[in-house]
Amino acid sequence: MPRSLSFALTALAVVLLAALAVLPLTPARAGDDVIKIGVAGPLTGGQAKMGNDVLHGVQLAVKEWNAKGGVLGKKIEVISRDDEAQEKQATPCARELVNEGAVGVIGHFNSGCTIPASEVYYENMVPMITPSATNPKVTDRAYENVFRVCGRDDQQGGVAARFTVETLKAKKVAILHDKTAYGQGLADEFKKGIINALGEAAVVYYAGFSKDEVDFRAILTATKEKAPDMWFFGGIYNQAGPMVKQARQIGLTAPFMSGDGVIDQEFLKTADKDAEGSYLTFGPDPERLPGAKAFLAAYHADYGDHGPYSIYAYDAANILLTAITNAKSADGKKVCDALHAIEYEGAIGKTQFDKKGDIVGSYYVLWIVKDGKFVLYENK
Amino acid sequence: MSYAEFLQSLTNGLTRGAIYALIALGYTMVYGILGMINFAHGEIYMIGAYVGVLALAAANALGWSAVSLGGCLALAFLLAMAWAAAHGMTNERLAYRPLRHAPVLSPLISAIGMSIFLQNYVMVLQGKDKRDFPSSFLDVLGTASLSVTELIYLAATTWALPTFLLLAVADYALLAGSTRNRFAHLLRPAPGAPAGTRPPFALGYRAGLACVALSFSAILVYAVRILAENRVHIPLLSSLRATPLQYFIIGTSVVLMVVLHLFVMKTRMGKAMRAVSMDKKMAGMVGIDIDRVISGTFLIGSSLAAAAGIMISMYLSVIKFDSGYFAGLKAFTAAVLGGIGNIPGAMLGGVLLGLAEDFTAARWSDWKDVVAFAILMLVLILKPRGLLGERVAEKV
Repeated sequence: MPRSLSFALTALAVVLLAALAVLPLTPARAGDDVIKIGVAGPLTGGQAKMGNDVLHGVQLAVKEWNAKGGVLGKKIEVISRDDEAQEKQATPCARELVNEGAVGVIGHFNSGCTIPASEVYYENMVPMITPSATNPKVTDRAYENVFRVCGRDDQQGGVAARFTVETLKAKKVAILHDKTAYGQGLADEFKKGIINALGEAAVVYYAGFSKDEVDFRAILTATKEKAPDMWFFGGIYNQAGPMVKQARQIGLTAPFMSGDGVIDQEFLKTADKDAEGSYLTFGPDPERLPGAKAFLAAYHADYGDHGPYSIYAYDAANILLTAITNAKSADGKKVCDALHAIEYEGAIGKTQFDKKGDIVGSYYVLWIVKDGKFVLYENK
Repeated sequence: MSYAEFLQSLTNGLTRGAIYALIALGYTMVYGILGMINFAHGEIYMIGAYVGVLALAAANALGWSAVSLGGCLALAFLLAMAWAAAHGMTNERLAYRPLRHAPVLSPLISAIGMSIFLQNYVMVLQGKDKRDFPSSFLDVLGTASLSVTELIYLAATTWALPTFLLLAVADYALLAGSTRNRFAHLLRPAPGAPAGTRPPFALGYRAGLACVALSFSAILVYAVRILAENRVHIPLLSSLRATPLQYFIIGTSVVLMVVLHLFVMKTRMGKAMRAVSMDKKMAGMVGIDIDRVISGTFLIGSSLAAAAGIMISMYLSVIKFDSGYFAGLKAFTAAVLGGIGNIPGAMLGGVLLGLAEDFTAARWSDWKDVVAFAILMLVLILKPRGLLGERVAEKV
């Protein structure tokens, strides 16, 4: 090999190596001109639909803010992490978001992920607003950086239990759950409500199974054996669909009730006709909220049909960005203080946080599946 | 456990067991012939389920389902079985044949690699999300549960003609099988007769058998009709209830297993398979094309797994890219329980494992899988040949 050629090659290699070393730094420098908002939730896997609903809600809010010039004079960028609804993935996702310089996070989606992830955000004083994690423990630790724009399972379970006792007039209740922080938490709150109203004996069956289980026939057979007047499931739509279908196949005809984790089109798609008459607890209907009209029109134009949590994610992002504006800084501590003081009129209505970071005011209402759609339950 | 719950667990367990048995047959046949455990077999089952579900979704989109739901279902079964068979044979050609003379662990590792590859390949192509079985195809079977008595009565009244014919064929086969040795001299040409001479009484013998079979089955159908008209209550069978889907799964599995049994025992290919499983080298010396026999084994095992796959996606109404992994392990357990390498053993093992799981799950849902694998360990320790096995599973 001629000397000049080998020299040229060596020089090229050195330049390439140097470029490799410099490249990762470049985006970080550019990052100084943007404000980063993190989103974390299940973007793939069985619960991907809901995770992406949240991401889209945030993206829509950010797009609107950017059109108005961003926040604190900087453009806003959304960075997202997929926690796959796995508790062990939640903490690494949270660390990555913090390291990438997210000034606030919308998420996580599942209670089981939100609780460990919030520890990371708390250590780094990064404000987080979950649109959907309803387990009481999320806010009961009273971390000053943790907020949620949805209700709590003790409220949700209480509403469901009251409805079961007063409207369905059930005397015998079976309770199933998926053993996650959300599912079992909700099932336990529901159980507490039933026991308070009807006594221990009213809960005739209580059992849990893995959140990856798909064959529920055995447990449903045992449920049917107890002849409950209704049965309740604490868990997510990807299990509720096949579960309800299999229940009807083995002849468990008692009314089915579940919580906000099940209120999704995917549930209707899988369970089909068998979903008819299912009761679900969830927030108010966005279609009926005067403040939500503009949001729904913009969301449908960009992403198609809205999911149950799109609107909460949208409001959460707006609340975070408003708090940053109010605080006149992206500093975590100041933003958290601004969040505690905020009174925000958004798509879902007025949002205010109490000391723990929960919303002030009531939230849960009853929905029912009617003619293949989720509609608000109206007592006739 | 009440009587009703016991019976419900029994039908659930039989259904699950029938599906395990179908998958287990693939493990056991390959083991019998190659002496290796095909760990990619669970993935073949999952691929069969996906092809079936996708084919039915396509049939819905094309509007074929409006013409005939049952026809679409049958086509989906055939397509899935053919597709899975192609996958199974390709696997063998690519991953196992080059390693046939390698140490025993090599094809095993290759099979595990194939399993991981196929799982990821389906995940990349079809996504991590579950897929729903198009539920309109479940309605064709109906949803109201039937007791076994009602099913028998239905067979004798509404479907009298097909039942009659089916019974007649079965009767004929049974009679012919049990009397062949006694009347062998009638079915063979006389000694010394020129080649091509018809045996003296063969035709008469067969006609006689047919008459007996036809009258047997006519009497049987007629008798059941009388019972049906009087709504006679049969103690156990009247309280044993299952959904039409469960009957369909158990029925299809039984039919497939009977066909497999006849194939292995009666056809040239079946005889070749048995010969290869006894002694591969010797079978090659007498002119059996071993490669073809092995391909045929993979073809049959894979198509049975595909049928099981579609049926499980009907039964659970969802399918996922990783569904094959656990089902494969369970079916492997069933094959070991019955005695690996032994075809009736795989059927028995599947049904026993399904029953054991469902009876556990009815009481202690968390312990279902523990029981399945505890059975595997106990069998390996106490009776490594399995319940019906002849040979020791010394290879793995």
